[in-house]
This record gives sequence, structure tokens and C-alpha cells, in this order.
Amino acid sequence: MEFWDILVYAAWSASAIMLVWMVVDAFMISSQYDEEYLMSSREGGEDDVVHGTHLEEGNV
Amino acid sequence: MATEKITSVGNKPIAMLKVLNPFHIWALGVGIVLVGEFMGWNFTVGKGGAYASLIACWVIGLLYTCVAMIDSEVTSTVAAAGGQYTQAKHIVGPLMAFNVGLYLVMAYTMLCAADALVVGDLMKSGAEVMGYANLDTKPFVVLTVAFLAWLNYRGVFATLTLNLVITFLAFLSLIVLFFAVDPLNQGVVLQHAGLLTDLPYGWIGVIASLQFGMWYYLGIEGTCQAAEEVRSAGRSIPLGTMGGIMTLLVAATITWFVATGLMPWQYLGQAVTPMYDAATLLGSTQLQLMLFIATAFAATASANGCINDASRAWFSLARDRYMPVFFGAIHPKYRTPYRSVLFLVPIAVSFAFTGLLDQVITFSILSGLLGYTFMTFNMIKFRKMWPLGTIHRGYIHPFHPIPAITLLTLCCATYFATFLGYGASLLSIMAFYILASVWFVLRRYKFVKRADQFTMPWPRPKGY
Repeated sequence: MEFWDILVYAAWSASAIMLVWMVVDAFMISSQYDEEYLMSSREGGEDDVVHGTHLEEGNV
Repeated sequence: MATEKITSVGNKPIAMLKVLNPFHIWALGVGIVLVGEFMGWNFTVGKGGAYASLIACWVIGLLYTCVAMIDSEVTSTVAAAGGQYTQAKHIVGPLMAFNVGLYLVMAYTMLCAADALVVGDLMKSGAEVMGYANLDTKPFVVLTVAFLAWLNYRGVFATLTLNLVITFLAFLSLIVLFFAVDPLNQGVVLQHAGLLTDLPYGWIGVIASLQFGMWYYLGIEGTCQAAEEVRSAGRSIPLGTMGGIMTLLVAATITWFVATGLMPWQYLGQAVTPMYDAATLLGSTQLQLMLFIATAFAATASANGCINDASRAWFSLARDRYMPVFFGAIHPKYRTPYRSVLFLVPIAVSFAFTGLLDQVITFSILSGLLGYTFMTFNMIKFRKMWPLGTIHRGYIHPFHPIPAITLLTLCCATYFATFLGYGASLLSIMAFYILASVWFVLRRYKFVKRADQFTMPWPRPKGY
């Protein structure tokens, strides 16, 4: 078996390992955390101070 | 036995990490684009000759300078992921926002697929040089997408730090190539006097070249997608974006100067890897190797940035329920939109497996162009709704509304150029977005919680 043949198998294997790792991790997160918490992010993130500096008049 | 699920951490909503600085923003914008300097830009030469390519380089450079200025101003006030999608949502309305979000996802996913194809082709070329013919490119295409998705999944800081390193090295290789051709002594290495001809297809060739001129800069607008993850959006986004467009203007001009001084336009206009060919012509193995590695770095950086941007755009659409809300989740450890990253992997790989590089790129370019067209209306409306002084801006672009009008004019010229070369693609892509809009209005918008889309405490717009 040539070097390039081995490289092809290595590429397939490494891809499979990384993809499986991500899928398994995603399932584990879903089983450990409440969906509402995972999807609780708000536009602009948690740092409201960043946006607070934008307010000059007519705050909603 | 059922295990209790974690419902909150510190009584705060989950959020992406604010860890990026202006250098990361530069790396995101330039990283997506720079592969266009190594290949693709030269099709402008095929359309209208070397001078047409230079005109396209600077005219489209002006288009993207307008894009960068407008983006910098609007994004410096909208510190949210989604970039132009979020801008459209706040300034124009949901239908426009949906379309812009879709342009972004399609443009970046397709570009990622094209970049992965390039990496696969480079591996094949490398194998051929080393005496192994017919290397299967598919495993390397999948590996590129899988590795970069894995990196994006595990955190934005490492992802964009990698982009910073490999983008800088790729840019440096262009500078090294520039000095290697002895640019101050014409006729020694560079042969512009003999190689530069008049416009072989006249001015219509110049117009036609505008479409491929976008390769010089396509993707710089992606800097906005990181707005929710930078430490200071008002400072970092304008610095990174404007620094990025300046870098690209220099890189594009160097690229044109070196390549057109070494190769006749008839060859250059159809070359697959023109900068590698330029290094080959110089007869230096070190330069050849450097350009080979730099091309691979540029393609990898581009794919990496595209996964980052496409996932943020998809995530933002989902967070607002424009797409299934399932994809609006953030990883509690890595603080990335992990489901969106994962979702886009099979799509990018599927596009790449079609092997239709030119069609994939055309779809990507047209989606980008539609986005730039929207930005002109967006900017005019933004300044009317929130005039200067009513909202803090990290950057104020000069001469408004001239950049917006210039951008619209140049977009129209580029649509015409695209119609000349890819009329059927242009019409089918338009039809795709019209059908998607109908689906959104009739079937999807009913799921959107209208008030929940606007959580940023902006001041009330003028006249409301």
C-alpha cells in the first residue's frame, strides 16, 4: 500500500472521528441541559452595557 | 432513573463569548477573501484582457469599499450575530431580513464548498507532482470541512486565531512574490511592455470582467457576523473591516501587477492557479513550494471563515424563529452555535461533491451581490430612521449618500455583467429566492414571535 493510499484512509478516518465526536457531544449536551436554557440567548449577548451606551434619547 | 437537566447557570441567559479583537475581525474578513487572489480573479483577464482586469480590480474595489464603509457604520451600532440579516430586520423588515439571511447562508456555505474543492484539488496536484496519479479528492474535501467544523464547534477564539496566522502567512507570500519579480526594474523579470495589450474585446469586455472582479474581495462583509463575539463591536468591527479592505486593495493590485507581467492574457485568463504558475515561471522551487502552501492556507482560511459566518447567520435566523428554533442553541461550554455548525456540514459537503466549482461560485457571488444591493436601501433608511446624533456610532462613513448610490450603480453594472456570462444562473437564482420568500410569508412567518425579535434597547426611530 502506497503512502497516498494510507493518507486517503487516514483522511476518511479523521473526518469520521471528528464528525462522530461532534454528534455525540451534541447529544450529550441535549441530555444534560434544558432546551430552554440552551436557546435562551438574546440578540447582542449578555453584555447589555455595550448597548446601554447607545441610548441617547427616546429609550424603548 | 431520570436525571435532572440543568435549566440555568447563574440565572443568566446563555450567550456567545466576547473574546475577539480587531485582528480577529481582520482575519475573518481577509481570510474569507484572500483565496480569490490566488485563483479566480484571473477570469477577469479572460473576459476582457489585462487592462480590463485592472479596471475591474479597482471598480469592484470601489464597490467593496462602499460595502465596508456602510457595514462598519451600521454594525458598529448592531452588536449582534447575523450581520446584514440583523441590520435588515431592524431597519427594513422581516421579509427582507429573511432574504438577506438566506443570501448569507447560501453565499458562505457555497463558498466553503468551493474552498474545500480547491484543497482537494491541491492535494491531487501535489500527489501528481510526487508521482501518484488520480488521487481521490473526496476524503480531503470532507476532512477540510470536518476539521474546520470541529474547530468552529469548539470555540471562536481558536478558530479565528488560526485564521489570523494562516491568512497573514498567505498575504506575506504575495508580498514575497512581489519583491521576487524585481518590481522596480521593468524588463528584467516583468514584461509588461510586451504583454499588456489594448482591450481585446473592447469596453463590453470590461463590463463582462466585473463579475469575476468580485473574486478579489468577495466575503469582506463577513466581518459583521462576529459582532456578538467581539469585545467592543463599535471599535473592533470598523477597525477590522476597514483594515481588511485596505489589505485586499493592496493584495489585489500586487496580484494583478505580478501575474500580468509574467503571463500573456490568453493564458492567464484561463489558468487554474495563476499565482502558483507565476512562481513556477520564476524557476524557484522555494517560491513554488511557498505559493503551493499559501494557496492551501488561503483556501483553508476561507472555508474556516465561511463556516463561522454561515453558522452565525443560520443561528440568528433560528433564534428569531425564521428557521427552526432548534438551531438557535448555544453550546454551554464552548459558547458557539454548535447545532448550526453541525447542520451546515452535510450541506457544504453535498455542494462540494457536485464538483461544479463554477456554478457553486456563481451562486455564491450572486447571493453576495443581492446582499450588497439590499445594503444601499438599508443605509439610506438607517440614516433617516436614526439620524446622526440619535444613536452612538463607532464609525460614521463620509459623504453619505454618495457611497450608497455608488454601491447601487456598481451592483447594477455587475448584474448586467453576470447576465452576459451566466444569464440562466442569474434568473434561476432569482426564482429560487422568490419561491423561498413565498414560503416564508405563507408558511413560516406565523411561527415568528414578532416582539421577541427585537431585544436590543435601541432608541425609538425618528417618526415612530
